[in-house]
Amino acid sequence: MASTSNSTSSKIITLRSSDGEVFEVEESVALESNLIRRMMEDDCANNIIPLPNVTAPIFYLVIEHCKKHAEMKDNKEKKKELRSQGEELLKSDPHTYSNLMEAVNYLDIKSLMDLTAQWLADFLKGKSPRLIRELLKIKNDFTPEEEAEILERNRWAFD
Amino acid sequence: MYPTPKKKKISEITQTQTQQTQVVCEEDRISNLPDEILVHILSFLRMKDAVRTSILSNRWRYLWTWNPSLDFSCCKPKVIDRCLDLHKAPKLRSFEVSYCNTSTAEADASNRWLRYSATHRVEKLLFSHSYGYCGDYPASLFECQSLMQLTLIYGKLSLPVNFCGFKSLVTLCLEQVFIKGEELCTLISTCDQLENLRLINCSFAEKQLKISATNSSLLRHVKITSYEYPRSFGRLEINAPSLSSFTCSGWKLSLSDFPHLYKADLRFINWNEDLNCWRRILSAITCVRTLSAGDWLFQPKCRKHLPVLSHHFEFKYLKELNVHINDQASKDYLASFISLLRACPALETVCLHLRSGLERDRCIRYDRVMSWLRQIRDPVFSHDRLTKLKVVGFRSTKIELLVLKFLLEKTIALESLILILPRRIFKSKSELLKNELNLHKMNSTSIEILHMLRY
Repeated sequence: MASTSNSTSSKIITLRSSDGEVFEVEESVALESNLIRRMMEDDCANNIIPLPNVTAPIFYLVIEHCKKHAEMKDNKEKKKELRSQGEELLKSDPHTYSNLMEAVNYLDIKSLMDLTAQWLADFLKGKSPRLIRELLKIKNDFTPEEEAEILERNRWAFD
Repeated sequence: MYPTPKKKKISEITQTQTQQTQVVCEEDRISNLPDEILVHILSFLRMKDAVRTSILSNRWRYLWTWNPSLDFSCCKPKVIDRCLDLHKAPKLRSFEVSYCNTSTAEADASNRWLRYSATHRVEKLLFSHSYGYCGDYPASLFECQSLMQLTLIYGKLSLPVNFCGFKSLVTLCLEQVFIKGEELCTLISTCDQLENLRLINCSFAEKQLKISATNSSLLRHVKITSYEYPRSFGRLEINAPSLSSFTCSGWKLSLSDFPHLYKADLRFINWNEDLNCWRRILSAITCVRTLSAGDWLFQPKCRKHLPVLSHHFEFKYLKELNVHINDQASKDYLASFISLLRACPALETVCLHLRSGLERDRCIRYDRVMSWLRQIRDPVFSHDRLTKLKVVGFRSTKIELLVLKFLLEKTIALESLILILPRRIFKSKSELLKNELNLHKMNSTSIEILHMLRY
């Protein structure tokens, strides 16, 4: 978290979250976001860049994962570790997960988009529909007949 | 580097975060994510798992039909047909089919699916027939002109007469595919954007294969392996000026110069070849950073030339050297190995894999090796950049110990030494080994003595 950077040459970019927090982020990290990249190209970079769709705690999570992602590039173990963190988050706090996903989508960060999508994909794998609904608070709005029909049509997937 | 909130501390931030979640945790926020995100998530799943989500709720019922990445691993042809009937995504990012059993309907079905992929401008295609299948790939494969990555497993690939290349293809991987050598050449030369080529145990009609890329070719990474026994190795000629990594096993090679090569993995090539071929290979790969080599480097005909050649050849940039010795090793091996080390001044990592041990050859006389090692202990030769040394299959025979001692003497900056023994060892034995090698004196080096679980 402490931002004593070794490379003093790199530029610092100032961003403001929707709830008014101000963040200082190194340019190389900020440019992971295609949204910020586009804004910089349009030359709005000299002022504070507002991020009206992202709250401070979520933005903090995004940056933290950006950093981790950059670290693990050549490290398979770390990659695994990062990939397994999703299960935990989705079980304990699906709400934060969806906020994170929305923020990543809004900021347009390709690497994190894939990572967070992989989290939910791994989470959905091999779990019974019932358990998934329970954990993610998904309401089953099918009538029993509809449910039976879907099951019957896609029997191959449920065997 | 990381954000520094100017007013609040992180602990406070996380507190507010948990407060917020407690209020709304009963709400299903995930289903409320936009379609594009949910579909993106489904694209990471195999078809079976993606279709399973249709039972969750009405929101999820038809989401999978918009999935641009279809992975039909081990699905029955009927299932694939049904899914494609329902599928609605306008464009396919990837399409993967792998069969579990062969049937006569295959050719028709494959043709249908490949046509579907072609009309949906597929970018990445993996098509795996079942083991041993040798039928032709259907003509509709060549209609997939938006392909960037193509992987074919088993089957036979014949190009149509007027084929003019996959114009966007970057990666081509053929595994156990039958293809005529000349057609492979046409395929490679017509795909202008090709960067990666992998030919894994494919069969070619000819015993000679020539891969020739033009000067403007982008071909950078090539891997070619074959199952052949040394006696029936085919001859492979490669000419690719921008090649940067090259892996080959199971061929006799003739190489042109590769000025950009940084990684070469040539473990099992050119068995029992004449000196000129061997020399040619060495001179073609002199600019590598990483080299993995096998017995061919020390084969009997050439062994005695390596010490001489090492005065002429220099692997100036070589940083990582992996040597696999499978054959029974002898004094000549050691001589060549050490000459090789002398020709690599920039080495940082050396890994030696011994398969049958350095003392199997009963003709080696211990005292001769001793005297020979003494001869080459010239003080000029030492590796000051070598920091990692690893020996796999170390049996601690007399000669192995001797060689290791010799190496330890020559590597003054060693940071890590790893010995992997073929059998389980006891603690007392590893202490003994450490004493014998004077490892206790090496304070700045981390030493690990491990054993192999399966060898």
